[in-house]
Amino acid sequence: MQNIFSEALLATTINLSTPLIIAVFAGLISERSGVINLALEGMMLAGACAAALGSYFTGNPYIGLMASIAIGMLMALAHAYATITWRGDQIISGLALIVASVGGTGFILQLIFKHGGNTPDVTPLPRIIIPFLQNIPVLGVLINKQTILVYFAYLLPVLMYLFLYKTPLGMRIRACGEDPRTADTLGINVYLTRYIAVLISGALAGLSGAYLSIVQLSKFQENMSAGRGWIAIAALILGKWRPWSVFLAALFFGFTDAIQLTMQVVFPDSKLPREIFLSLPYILTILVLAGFVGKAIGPAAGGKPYEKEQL
Amino acid sequence: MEYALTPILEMRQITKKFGNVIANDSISISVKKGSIHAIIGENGAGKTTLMNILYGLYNPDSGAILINGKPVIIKNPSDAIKKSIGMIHQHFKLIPIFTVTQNIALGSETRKSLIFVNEKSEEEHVRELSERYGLEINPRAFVSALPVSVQQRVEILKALYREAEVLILDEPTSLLTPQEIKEFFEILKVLQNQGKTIIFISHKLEEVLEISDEITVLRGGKVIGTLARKDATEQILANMMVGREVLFRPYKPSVVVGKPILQVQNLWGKDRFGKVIFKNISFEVREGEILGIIGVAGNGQTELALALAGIFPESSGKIFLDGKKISNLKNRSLRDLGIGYIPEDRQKEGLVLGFSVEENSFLGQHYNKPFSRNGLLDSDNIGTHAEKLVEEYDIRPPDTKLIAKNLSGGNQQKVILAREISRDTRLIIASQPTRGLDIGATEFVHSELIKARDEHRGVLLFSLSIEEVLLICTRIAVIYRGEIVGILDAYRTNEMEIGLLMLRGKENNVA
Amino acid sequence: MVRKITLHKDLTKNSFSIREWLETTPIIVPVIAVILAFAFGALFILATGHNPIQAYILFLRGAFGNMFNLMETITKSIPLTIAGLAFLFAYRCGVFNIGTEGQLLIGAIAAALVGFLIKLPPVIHQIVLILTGAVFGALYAGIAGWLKAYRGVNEILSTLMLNYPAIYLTHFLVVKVFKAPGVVPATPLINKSAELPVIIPDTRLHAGIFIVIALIFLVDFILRKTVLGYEIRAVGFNPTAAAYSGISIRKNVIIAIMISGALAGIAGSVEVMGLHHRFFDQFSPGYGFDGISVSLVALLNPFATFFSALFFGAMRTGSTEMQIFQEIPRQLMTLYQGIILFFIAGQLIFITFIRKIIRKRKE
Repeated sequence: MQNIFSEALLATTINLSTPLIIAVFAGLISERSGVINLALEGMMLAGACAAALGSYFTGNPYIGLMASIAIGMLMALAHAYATITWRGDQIISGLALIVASVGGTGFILQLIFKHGGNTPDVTPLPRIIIPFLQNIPVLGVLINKQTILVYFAYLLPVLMYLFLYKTPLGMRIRACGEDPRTADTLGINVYLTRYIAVLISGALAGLSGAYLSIVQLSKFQENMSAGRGWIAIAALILGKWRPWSVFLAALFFGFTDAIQLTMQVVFPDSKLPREIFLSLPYILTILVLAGFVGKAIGPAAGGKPYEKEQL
Repeated sequence: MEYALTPILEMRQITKKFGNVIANDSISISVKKGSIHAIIGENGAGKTTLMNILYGLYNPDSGAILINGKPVIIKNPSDAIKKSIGMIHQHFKLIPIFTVTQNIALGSETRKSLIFVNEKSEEEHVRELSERYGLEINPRAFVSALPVSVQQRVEILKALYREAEVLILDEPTSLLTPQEIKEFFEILKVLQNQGKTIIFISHKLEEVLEISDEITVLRGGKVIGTLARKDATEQILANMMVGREVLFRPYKPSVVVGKPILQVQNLWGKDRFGKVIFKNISFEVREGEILGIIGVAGNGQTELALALAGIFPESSGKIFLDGKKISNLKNRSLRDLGIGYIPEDRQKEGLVLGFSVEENSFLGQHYNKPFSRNGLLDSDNIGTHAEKLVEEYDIRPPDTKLIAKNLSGGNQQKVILAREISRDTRLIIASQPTRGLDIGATEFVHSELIKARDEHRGVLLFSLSIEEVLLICTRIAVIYRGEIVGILDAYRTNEMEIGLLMLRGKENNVA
Repeated sequence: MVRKITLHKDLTKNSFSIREWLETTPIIVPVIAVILAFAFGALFILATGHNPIQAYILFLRGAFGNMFNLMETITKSIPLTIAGLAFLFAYRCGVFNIGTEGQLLIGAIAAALVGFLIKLPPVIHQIVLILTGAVFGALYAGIAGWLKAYRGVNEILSTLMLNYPAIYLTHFLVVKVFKAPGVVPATPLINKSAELPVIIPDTRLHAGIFIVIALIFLVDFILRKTVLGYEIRAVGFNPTAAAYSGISIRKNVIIAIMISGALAGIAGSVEVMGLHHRFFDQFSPGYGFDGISVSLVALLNPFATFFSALFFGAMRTGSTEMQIFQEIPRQLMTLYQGIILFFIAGQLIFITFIRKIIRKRKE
């Protein structure tokens, strides 16, 4: 059983969990403001595509990074416009954006790179080497030689916690998600606050996609997101919409994914099919939803468009 | 208590219409600085609308607001807050997952180093206010864990935190126990001593007489008068609130009243949290009579109606229909036994707005013949039945395929009436059946209920309007704080007697 | 004596008020959405350096241009229609079942396995297979139904989450347990007696089309002419009023979602029986998912669902033609679908706009 913490497994976990962590916080901030963002899968995919293209055409992966943030925010803007301003259905809008993203990225990919399936290799994000870390066993090796996205992802829980619980804007976002009418009577602009939250959500979602195409691999492949957006949503529910819990949930799902991937090496004798690990996030989430593992209570005003009364 | 003679607040000729309903009709009031000013009236008199206008939640159609003699425009709550007006709503606006301090400071947070909230300084401010005004609270407690009376203090502190000089309290004692009400009045005195002006919306006469300096009475959207406390008695106030000219009664009194159809014995009802909503309810409804149950909204009648209709909440006690025990039956069974139910909210509870008139006309009996057989709907029978109802009840437009959403309120109510009254029901339970209807539709409803009465059926009418119960009921039961405090003969009583029972729970000459 | 009637709070909360919009929305909304998508998309076509008009002509040719293409379009519309009916049925009850993809796969694998493991005479075998697909699909959806009725679990999340275990389970069964020899991972062929025959020679159009037509009428019949359908629709429109009239919300929600799952399962089994004659891995390019779009575009009307599915099928065949002859990536059509769906979500924009125009005309 000492295999379970082998370096390979831990390193893979960090690798696989990073996009999940960033994505889960994308989902978190939007939902805490009361807007369900189901489009994570689509924003992730679009972000991956944008990052790869940005890096491809300029040779600079940081441009790719910014492109991914931009496309995420653009999609988020559409979602916000339809659901906040026009009080459209949040679920359908989210699903629509996913479909549009799958089509749009496939289209662009095919158009520019003809032979279909993927882009050629692009310049990935550079890894940062911190000299003194080389001497710390295990942890040092893991933390060292990572890209800034990894550091960002592991800082996110702290940042999110501070933002949502210790800053005025963060608290207002949560207020809008719990009881927008109360927030309204206190002079808070519910529409604007929700817009901000959704835009941040889009930025993070795009960023999570960038990780896929300019860190994990150095190219964009069609349908690269492969359901990770849905796993992020599962992690959001499992973590009951709280910063530290969703972080752990995302980390855990990254871990199960890592197990599934490295099973041949780590557990050569195991007869367990990988599919069980792949299904684990979803089954766990259902158990949580059913209340078998504690109650899952989301933001009280989640999913409901806000309508200012009579003025 | 000395207070300045200049009014701190004046509302001049405020008018507000909602569609055809005039909620506030050229209302003018003047509030003296440092006074406790009560605004009283029945349900629907326009009190809450007026205060919502003052707090910027509604904008008036015409009229002006003056503060310290200067006209101001209040377009939204932020403006009101800036003008030092604070409002404590009847249903608290608190976020359960936040702490007391967080709730109080929300929207007006103190910052530390530009990005973070300075919770320490907010907490201190809250503590300081709490001490100054004698409003004991724990700034760190989560609101969800606090009892109602403490939550109310948080609401007051919210206003004080924003330096409100005028505090509007909407029915502040409706959720408090008598002991808590005593404590609450002491808090009001402290606030007054500190120079605050308080506007107090209520319908409870004894409280208003105990605490206020001046009292304004509203009725039907208009100001009836303003009195100083020393000039007011319960009698005078009740008269102003409900007094009307002599009623003309177009309906002949009941035919001979027969045996009891519905017998209710000792019914108690609790809500989901175990709090008692109605108790000791006992009464009868007999053949050929209309029994009205009247009370100020929120005294348990809604829940009682739902319990009798077999829907909600849990209740204990005995209920008999024509001598048969029906205490444990659900609404489907009650319907089959011949109880018709006209719910309070016709759009949410009585009709499926997305269905056509025809489809609504057999809702609740859809699984029985003649409307269906073996699980299949019988469209011929349904069609004839619907046509008949539309004709008999003059539903307009006379199109049975029209989607119910497109009917006017009055016609929607007719569909429900038609459905419930036309079948062979023994007892009809009607909950506020004329709410929101115009005169014509109201008259129609009344005549239908009278017709049912004359057919030797029984009608149990829940109403909020004294005028209505005097108009069509045979007997009138008054409900106050969940209990029946009196059952009167409709032909021997008057508004005063009913009003006093509704407003203070006891008759005039009983101590 | 205590009388206990508790209305579970969550059951009386409709998931979306947009249901009423959808059922009373003018047809013009999806039409506008489609037109806008094609107009907007024309920009993308220009970006490829081609003339949009020519491209769209090719599109029409690919979808309806000759017998084979037309039959292909219709063939593709078969699973889309049934999946659309599946989503529609549940949504009429206010239940948002986005697990149709998973239910479809479960139904398909069950049918594929029964198809090759058991031998039965022709017509009976087919009926058994369809019923198998229906039963398994219904049971799988029933999990979410039970969770909603007895645990207050939001069905959007539960059906969504159930999709992936179904995908992985079927993948596992196909690749590791029942794999037939060959390059493509698939179950062995089902017995000939279980196949749905091709009805037009030299095409792939199979008898499943008859099943589609039958199901459309069946769904319409249930919803409009039966007590069950009446109660389901009442719950969908207004659960409170339904409950007050003695209708059991729980019972109807569970039945609705199970019928929905059954339909999705049938979609899967029909595809297996008629087109592929086996379950091969990843045979569904998202039919279940697309069924949702199909149904929404059809504004939840059973008959319109067929035409909507035809349209979506046309998008697949038409886009292939555009790709072959003008190298316009076929994913463009997927993009269009997204745009259409997006405009349906934000349809208030149109309705408000249209109302303004009508008002202006009156002045």
